[in-house]
This record gives sequence, C-alpha cells and structure tokens, in this order.
Amino acid sequence: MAKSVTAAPNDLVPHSPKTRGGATRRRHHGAPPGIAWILPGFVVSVGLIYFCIGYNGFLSLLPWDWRPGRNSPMFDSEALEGLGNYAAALQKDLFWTCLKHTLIFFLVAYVVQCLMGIIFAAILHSKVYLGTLWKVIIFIPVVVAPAIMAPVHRRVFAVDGPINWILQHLGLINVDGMGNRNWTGWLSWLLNHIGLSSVTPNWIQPSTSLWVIIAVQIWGSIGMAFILFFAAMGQIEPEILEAARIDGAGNIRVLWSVIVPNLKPTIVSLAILNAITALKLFDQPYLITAGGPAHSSEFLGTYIYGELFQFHSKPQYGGAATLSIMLLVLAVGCSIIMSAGSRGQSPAKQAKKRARLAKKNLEVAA
Amino acid sequence: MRKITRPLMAALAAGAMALTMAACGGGEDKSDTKDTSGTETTADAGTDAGTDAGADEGSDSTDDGTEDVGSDEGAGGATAGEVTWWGWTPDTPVAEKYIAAFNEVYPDIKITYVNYENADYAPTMQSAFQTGAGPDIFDVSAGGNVGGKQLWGEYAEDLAPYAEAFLGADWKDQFATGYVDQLTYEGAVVALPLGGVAADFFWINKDLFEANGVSTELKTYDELKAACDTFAAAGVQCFTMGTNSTDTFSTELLRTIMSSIQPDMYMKCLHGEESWDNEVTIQALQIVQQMQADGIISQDATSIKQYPESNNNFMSQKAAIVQMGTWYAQYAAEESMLGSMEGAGVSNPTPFTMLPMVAPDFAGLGNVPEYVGEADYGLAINIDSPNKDAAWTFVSWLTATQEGQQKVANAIDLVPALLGVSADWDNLGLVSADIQIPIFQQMFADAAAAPESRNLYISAETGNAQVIAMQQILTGGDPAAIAAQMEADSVDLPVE
Repeated sequence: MAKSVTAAPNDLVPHSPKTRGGATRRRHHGAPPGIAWILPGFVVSVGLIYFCIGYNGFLSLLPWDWRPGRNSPMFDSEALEGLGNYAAALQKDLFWTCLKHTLIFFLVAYVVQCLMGIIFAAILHSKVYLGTLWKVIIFIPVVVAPAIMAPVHRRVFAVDGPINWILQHLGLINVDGMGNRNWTGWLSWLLNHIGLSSVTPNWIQPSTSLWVIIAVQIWGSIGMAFILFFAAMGQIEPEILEAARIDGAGNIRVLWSVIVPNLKPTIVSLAILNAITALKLFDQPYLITAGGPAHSSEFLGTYIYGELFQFHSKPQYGGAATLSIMLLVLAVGCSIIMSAGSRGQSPAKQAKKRARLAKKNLEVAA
Repeated sequence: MRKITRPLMAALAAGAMALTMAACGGGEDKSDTKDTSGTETTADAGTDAGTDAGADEGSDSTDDGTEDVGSDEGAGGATAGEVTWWGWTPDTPVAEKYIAAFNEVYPDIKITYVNYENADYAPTMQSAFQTGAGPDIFDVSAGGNVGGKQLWGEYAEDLAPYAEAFLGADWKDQFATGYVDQLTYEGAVVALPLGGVAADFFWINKDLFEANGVSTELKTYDELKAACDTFAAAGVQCFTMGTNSTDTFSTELLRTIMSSIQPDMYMKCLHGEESWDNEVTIQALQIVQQMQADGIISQDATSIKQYPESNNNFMSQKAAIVQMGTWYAQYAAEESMLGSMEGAGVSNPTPFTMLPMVAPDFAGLGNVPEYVGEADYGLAINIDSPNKDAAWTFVSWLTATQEGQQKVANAIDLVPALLGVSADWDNLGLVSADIQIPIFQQMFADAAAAPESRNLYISAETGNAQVIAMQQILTGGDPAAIAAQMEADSVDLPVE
C-alpha cells in the first residue's frame, strides 16, 4: 500500500531520536523543530498585540486627559505622571457601575447558559426527532454578528415591538389612547408589591436596559454552550452511565450525579470565556442601548470608548488607556483564578474521582 | 514551575485578546435619511492629465500653501487634481450635487466625498490624522465632540491668508456675522463656513394637522396638549423624540423650555454665571416630565434615537411633530422628501407639507422661545495635504463664491454663509411652494439673526450631562436631584 509523503524542509522534519542505520542519535537541543513555521505568526503576535499592550501601559502613565497632538512624540516621556490614573479610576463612580454591570451580566448569562446548554445537550443526546435540525436552530445565533442583529434587537424590544405585541396578546399589557403600553391591573399590582414598580413595558430604560443586554447575550451564546456540552457529554464513558443505570438511577439522577460532574472542565472553560466576554463587552450595549439610558447599561468597553470619543470635548487617552489596562488585569486575574480552580489533577485522575463520587452519590441515594 | 507558567501564559493570552478586542464594534444605526457610514461618492471628473497636473502642483505647494493662492486661473488654486473630502455632513446626495456643480466649472478636479455618521467621524479622523492618512478637506464645526475646532483645529491650514487673497481685505465682512470667528481656533481660521444652522423650534406635518382639525400654530402648553389629545384619538403620535443616544438633539427641548421660563438662563448656565441646579432648570425638567405624563412625549422616548427612529416616525407620518432645526428644510422638497419617506419604510410615498413651527410658550409667562444658531460647519484643508491648491479651489468655490453658495442655499440644508445669497425658492421643487416659501424665508431670516449660539459653548461634558438629565427625567427621576447632577457633571467652555 502506497503511503503519502508530505514534503517538508529537512530541518523541520521531526526526527526520531532513534536511528538511521542502527546508530542512536543524540537529542537535538537547538531551535525547536517547526519554529520556522510559527515564526511569522509569533512575530505578528508579539509585535502587534503585546506591543500594543505595552504601549497602552505607557499611555496609562500619562495624564488622564493626555491626547496626542499633531507633532507629539510617540513616547511623550516628558508628560509621564506615574500611577495616579489608577487611583483616579478607582474613585470614579462610573468605573464601579461598569464593574457591577459586568458582574451581573457574567453571573446571569453564565448560569443561564450552563443550565440551558446542559439541558439542550442532554435532550439532543437522546435521539430526538429531527435532532440535527434542532442543533442547527440552537447554534445559528452564535454565527450571526452582534452588529447585524443589533437593529433587530432594538426593534424586538421597542415599545411597539414584537415582545410587547406578544405580551399584549397574552393579556399582560394594555395599550392606552396615547399608544403607551402598561401592565394589566393584576400584573401592575404584583410588580408594585415586589418592589418592581419601575419595570414597565418600555424595555430600554434604566431599570431594564441591562437585562435587555443580558437577554441578547444569552440568546446569542446558548448555542456555543450547547455545542461544548454536547461534545463533552459524548466523552463520558458509557460504562459509567451503564453502571449508574444498573444501580437504579433515573434520568435526572444520572444527569445531576453522573453527567454534570463529568462536565466540570467545560463548565470552567465556559466560566472563563464568559468572564472575558463580560469584561470586553462592547457591541451589544453600544449598538442596542448606547450604554444607557443614563449609563444604566454601561460596561467597561463602552466606558473606555466614551472616555475617548463621547464623554469629553477632547479624547482622554490617558484615562482610556488606564481603564484598558485595568480591564486586562481583571481578565487575566479572572482567568488565573478560574484556571487554578480546575487545576490540580490529571484528567484521568479527575475522571476516576468523579466516577467514585458518582457511585458514592448513587449509593447514598439508594 | 511549569504547571504555573502554562495557565499563566494562557490567561495572559486571554487577557490580551480581551484588551485588544475591547473596542471592536460596529457603527451606530443609520439614519434612513442619511447615507451609509463611510459611504464614498466620487464625481469622476478628472482626466489623467489633469490629475497629474493637480498632483504636481499640490506637491509644490505643500511647504507653503499660501504661495500659489490666486496664481491659477481658477478660484485661487489649481484647476486640476484629486481631492478627498470627509465629513459627517452634508448627506451624500447633497454633496453629490455640490460636487457636480463644481465640476461644471472645474471638470479636471476630482472630488471624492466620504460621509461618516456623527459617532464615527471623531474616531475615524483621530486615526487618520495620527497615521498621516487624513483627507485633503474635512468638516470642522464651531463646537461639539464630533468635529469641533478644538479637536481638529491643529490639523487645519490657516485659511485667513487664502481668503484675504481671494476676497480682499474685507473678506470677513462678506460672511454672515460671527461665522468666521466661530471657526477660528487659537488665532487661525481653521475652516471657512459653508453655512449656518438654527434650532429650538418644531417641525410639523401640516397635512396631519389639517386632517385632524388642529391649528398649525400652537402657542401655549394647553394648546399643545389639546392637539396631542386630538392626535392620540386619531391614532397618530403627537411629538416624537429620541433620547437613547449620546447626541444632544433631545437637550434642545430642555433649552427651549428653559427659554420660555427665562430666556437668558441657559446661556448664563453655559457661561458659568448661574449653576444648572437653579429654579428655571428644575421647572423646565418638571415641564418635560409633565409633557410625558400628558402624553405629549411618547413612552418610547428613552428607547429610541432622534436619528433614525424619531426622524423615521415623522417622515413616515406616524408622528405629527418633531423638534429639528433649519437643516430639516432640505426634506421639504418633493424629491428629497420621497427619498426620506422611502428610507423611513414607506412604500409608494405621497409627499406631505412640512412646516417649521415656533415652540409654544411652555411656562405661560409670555416668553416665546427664539431661534438659536451659529455657523454649522466649515471646510478645512489638511495642513499636511499634498493637494492644497486643488483643495482650496473647491473650498473657495463652495464657501466664498456666489455660484457655490447658491448651490448651498438651494439645498436648503444651511443658511448660506456668504452674505447676499439666498435660495432660488421658486425652483426648489417644494411640495407646497406657495405656502412654504414665505414661511421658509422667514425661518432662514430668523436663523441668520439668531441672538444666541447653539452649540458653540456647549462642551461635550455639558451636552452629555443634559442628555442624561433628559433620560433620567423621562424615567421618573427627581428634577432637583437631576439638576444638581447636571451642575456636577457640566464643564464650562471659555468664552472667546
């Protein structure tokens, strides 16, 4: 049988440490094989991304309102002021407002994504009719660019948009003579008595605009969570599931005590991805709510942009760079903490441990 | 050690990704009556020979742009070349008309116009100037954070020597009062005014008013409320307004109402002579709240933008009143109105008659809000442009010749900057010329004589503070607390 051979530069072919002609060769300790292939990408990565991060760091040491002039040097070292911008950022209410929004966004979007992703994945692992079609339908929102969907979402959440139309036809909303939408009597009474009187069917307003952004994010990202969980569930050893069945576990028990523990790496990965998404969020709040009304859906991304181009008569480069570096630190910090939480044991050991735990749970339940 | 390094590197990479992507996003929604962000329109008028000549001449004059002024047979610059023009205004169709008319006189100068959305203009210009890729000609306004002279003035050629060589020693006096000074920054005339603009009044759909038996002159708050009740009964939105944006259109209602309470208070606050948390501001905020409670301002005011939604509501005849300025007159011509209506989602549109209406005396104190206005924007020449001569030919023709200014006047988008020029009213194709012409003539005359500036002294910080105030007051905020926050967030600009 003929074998296909891929041509490659001799130096780049990973040689076996064993022989040619029977003699054992010494391990090569020079440049790693394949370095030539990755060098261009490596140069671009280091040259652009890390340089930009470093330059941002430099700009963050300049005055908050520093702005490059026509003949400004690239490194305006005379303007260096030190770390004062970081202290100033921490004293800004809007910074903490953005962080609060980020945290709420992360927690809600992440929890809902995980729950819905696991449920969809579990259902579609059980040979559902037209399963492939459902998978496509669930995943499609992931591939649609937020910028394209933003006008649609603005319309969906408009006062006279589809959501209110549905609520109106469910009898939850009344339309008065002015065209204003109001909750029907009992719902209005209920919202008043649980402290949500500010929630009206005008969704893009301070009390609900953040939740509009969260809803849009959930809509757009459940597909990704579903795919990840679907793939992770396919990795679970069938023997473990069979053992659980033999021990008498029902569907819910198997899902909760066997499947979910085995999804921990995916759950952690999703947490990291969601944390980064929340921190760098820009598209949806900028395009759907413009960060408002009254900063009610402002995030760090839109805040940084606002400091540069919207909030001031002149761009505030120092301030924007400072906030960018703080965003970087937060992103790296979150990633390290979450990674550390999932580290410690090899995958094989973790699988064995989870199997033992699952068995123990079942025994306790039995 | 290795166990620590690997996740650390992964986290660093993730963080880097987050940082570099933090500001990735698209532009704002488009106004349907405006053109696509970054839309490019080119008048293909240049010939190869002309292009080469223009480029050469431009290069020669790079070091000293004033040397060749008036040396050519054209409007003081080159007669051939290629020039790029970037701006957030005018709309592309209007710019196309300007360029086409210019090319009838200068067929060998190719002008490429790129129109940006307001929100996209500043980021684009910042990047362009930083990388030396700026346009030859660009828009500059008297104030604001879109194209304010304080932003781009240092990148603009001082046009005073050019203008003096072209128009003579009394060149400033040939423009509307104050326009040139408003575009002067740190002693240099950074742009020549194309025209002026005025605001603080309403536009009404006369056809809807008449169909519902509503008077086209609403002089008091009660009359306005009664009109809105009538429109509501007919299923027509009365007054459309959008505050869900950082643009400051919605704040003009606040100013209009403040003017009806105490005419000079707004300017006093702008100049720091009064604080924003005064009784007039608080009362004005209360009136805004009352307007919402009375159904004059619709519920969706916090969730829509002035452009495109409010504009579309008006152009599609869903709403009877909108607060816009003199620039809105351009849609009164049948051709542009049909385009705007189609852009607003109307199929097979029938044009309607739109008219300006003086804002009511909101407070009932006998003060009718007056127009506020200034030079809307001017054309600047990039100080580093290699095509300064050809650029000056275009700038001077459009801003400082009767012929060019006539085109500006006929677009009825701006009050012409050059004195003695007025629109060719009988040939503009207005929907109801006999009704609209005298009213529009009065509007433009009032605009040219506006006693107060519009945006000249409004810093971005103050503008944002007012936008947030409007958003908060329309969602049930406390007027006194909102006014206090306005005072805290506003920044006064120096009075020059």
